[in-house]
Amino acid sequence: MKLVVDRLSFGYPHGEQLLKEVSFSAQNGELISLLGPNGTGKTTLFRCILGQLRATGEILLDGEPLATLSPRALAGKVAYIPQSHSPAFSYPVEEMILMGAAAGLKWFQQPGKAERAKLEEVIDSLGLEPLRNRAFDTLSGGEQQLVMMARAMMTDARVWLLDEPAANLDYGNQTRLLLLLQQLAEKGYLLIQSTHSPQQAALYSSRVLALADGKLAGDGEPAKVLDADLIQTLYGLNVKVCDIPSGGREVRVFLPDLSK
Amino acid sequence: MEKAKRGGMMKKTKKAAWVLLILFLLLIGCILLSFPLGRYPVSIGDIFRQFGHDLLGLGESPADSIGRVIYNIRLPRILLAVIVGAGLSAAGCAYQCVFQNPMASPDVLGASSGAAFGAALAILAGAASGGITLSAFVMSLCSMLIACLIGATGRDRIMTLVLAGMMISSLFSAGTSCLKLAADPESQLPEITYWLMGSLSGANWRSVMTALIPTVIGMVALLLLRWRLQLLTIGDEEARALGVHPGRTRLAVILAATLLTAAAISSSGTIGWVGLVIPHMTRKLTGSETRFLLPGTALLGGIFLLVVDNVSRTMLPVELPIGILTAFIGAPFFLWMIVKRGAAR
Repeated sequence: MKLVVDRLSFGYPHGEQLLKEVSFSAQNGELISLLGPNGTGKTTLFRCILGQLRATGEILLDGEPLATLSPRALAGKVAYIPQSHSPAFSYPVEEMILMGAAAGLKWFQQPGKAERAKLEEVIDSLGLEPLRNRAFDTLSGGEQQLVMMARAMMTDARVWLLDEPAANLDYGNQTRLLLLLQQLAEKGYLLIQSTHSPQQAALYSSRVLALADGKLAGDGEPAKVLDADLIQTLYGLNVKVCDIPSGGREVRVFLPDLSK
Repeated sequence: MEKAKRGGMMKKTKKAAWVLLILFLLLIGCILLSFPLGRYPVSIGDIFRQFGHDLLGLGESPADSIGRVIYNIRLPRILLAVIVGAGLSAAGCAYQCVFQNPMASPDVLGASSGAAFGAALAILAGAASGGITLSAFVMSLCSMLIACLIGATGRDRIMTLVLAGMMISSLFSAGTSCLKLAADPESQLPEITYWLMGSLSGANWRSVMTALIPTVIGMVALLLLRWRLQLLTIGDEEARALGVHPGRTRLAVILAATLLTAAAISSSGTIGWVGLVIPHMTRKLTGSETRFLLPGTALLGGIFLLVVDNVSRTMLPVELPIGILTAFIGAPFFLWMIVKRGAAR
């Protein structure tokens, strides 16, 4: 499976150009961290891939342009996991996960046996058994993220776009979530997460995409791309970069300049 | 293990199913107990004898006068109360889901006053009952459309929609007042005025059929769409990412819910607040899953309006318009919701 984004540009009419000729390609097994300062087009890029914004340029999944797919077909290929979710009404966890089956069902259809069987698989694989009957709005942020991921699993989509999945979580849940994302990538998903933390990107992702001013400012392995210059470009910040051996590889660590 | 695993879900589904069954039995019970109420004495025994004779061919039928009271006066009124109550409540429930807004309802959104204006317009033009319903439906849709357009602009969408609905409501009420000025004071004006107060006292078989047909159509449509409706409550962006077309689904649901509103209002006037209060109470009983919530809301709405109507026609020597009673219940409830919303912030 291969996702190709080719010279993608987007701007609102009479507005500033938000994405300028962004090109990259990615395949399953990758966990990509999308870095960039606030307002630089990370969410816009996601929304273009999801077909919610009409951009120029091409987005191909296995050679097929995503723009030609119906919303239903697209939902079976690309899943979106929002940063936080506060539904107007409270549903049990099971019911929230089951909503991921929507793309496979027609207008008047309800989830049936096949969907419920799949629900069991998904609940098992993410270890959500103890939560299944809880009301979604009573869960912690980390638990809610897991439920959103379970819902994405229900859709059959192998490409997941995650909007700052770890942003609202405590340190323990952040770490567990990112390790889980690594596992999912190893199982063959292509995960693209937006994040504000270069440290997380360096620790967990297999690749970094850096956006600055709507342009691609860096693309590649964290250890190669994430250097002091890039941090300076992205965030206007002086950092010291150290490589520390850990777990059989060098892990890059960023230390802000504390002298001032 | 497998059993224990599914235990939770079974239990919950079972509980909601029980709630629906109890509501259904309660509705049947309320219907039976409503027959004896009224000036002409009819006993429960008479009802059983009459229906036993007519439906099952058992025993003898009671006196003709009793049969006439049951069939021509009590039964149409009871049926109309149940139909209107169920329709308004289900419409309120649907609006709450599509707008992801627990404070939406036919009256809050202006759908009711739009329908009232349309119906008054049709009465003024001398239209037949079908024409009144159609005109109510079209005007109700117009008011919804305006409220939706305004409601989408604000930052606090819940409050903007509520305020927009109130504005539209008062606009259409003013329009209705204008129509009253133009109406013939001998025949049309009393008809419009009385009907605006909201009352089931004019119930007859014709009004039952006028309300029943569109109500059944709207209700079946909503029940068929129940799962889509639930998907809309998670928000447009997420629904779209899951492959649901939020615009089309919303349009279909609004059409069905507005049809329910127009049917209720054109047959029995503006009976307010039912569509706000009942879905809330039902949600407490069945949870928010639409497959239980929608039928539960319709059942509870039917029970509620039937009971309120019984009170309105027996409490005082003169009959109270039912709209007055529902407002006495609904308005404090709405206030309480606003206060609670403020406290939750």
